[in-house]
Amino acid sequence: MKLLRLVPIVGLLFLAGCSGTNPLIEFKDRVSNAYSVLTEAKVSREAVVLARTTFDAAEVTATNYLRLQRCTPMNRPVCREAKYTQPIEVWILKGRDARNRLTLFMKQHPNELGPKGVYDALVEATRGIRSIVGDQ
Amino acid sequence: MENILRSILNLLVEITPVVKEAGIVAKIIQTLVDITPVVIKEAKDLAPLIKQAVSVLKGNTVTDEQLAQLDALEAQIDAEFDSAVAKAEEDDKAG
Repeated sequence: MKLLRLVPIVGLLFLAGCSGTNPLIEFKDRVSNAYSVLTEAKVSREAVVLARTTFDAAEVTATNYLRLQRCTPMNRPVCREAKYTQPIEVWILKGRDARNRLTLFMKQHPNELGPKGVYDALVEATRGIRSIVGDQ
Repeated sequence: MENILRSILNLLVEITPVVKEAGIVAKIIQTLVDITPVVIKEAKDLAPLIKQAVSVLKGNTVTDEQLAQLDALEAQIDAEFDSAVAKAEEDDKAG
């Protein structure tokens, strides 16, 4: 039985010798590439642009929210709560940092996929902003 | 913000038919006057971003020209936010 298991491997090695390429090495490379795609988790240029656009839209909404009059008992509900100014600013700065890092990466590596960790940070910041201004 | 606007509109739809008092009608109209510029501004501000997102979702390849436009738009959005947050902080301190 053990001998039978070796047959395909030997066959591949034989074919490799005939064609000038080594299918075992090719296969190993393919597995290695697939593994690195899974573990390094990259995102496409289009996904990055969408994440940037979504964050930008949240920043616009946050800007319009901050431009409202501060809430008083007389002007509710079209007003802004002073307690949200700082949290909004924190999320915007975090999001901008991630967005600018992704943008720079894409400029420096135009044909590569973007880093997933930074992408996730951008998505998280967008959610953070939306959780404040979206619920008001 | 969207929730506020949705709640106000729902409330108006419900109470408008039963409201007879002139003072309340005036207040409703004033609320509508207050929210209209906010809604229009938000829609105008978001229009170029929505256009960009739709283009990407349609499966179009992102061109270098579109990226340059997005860079310029982001610089503008950042500057607008910085100005708004500075004013809000000043207002909060005066508070």
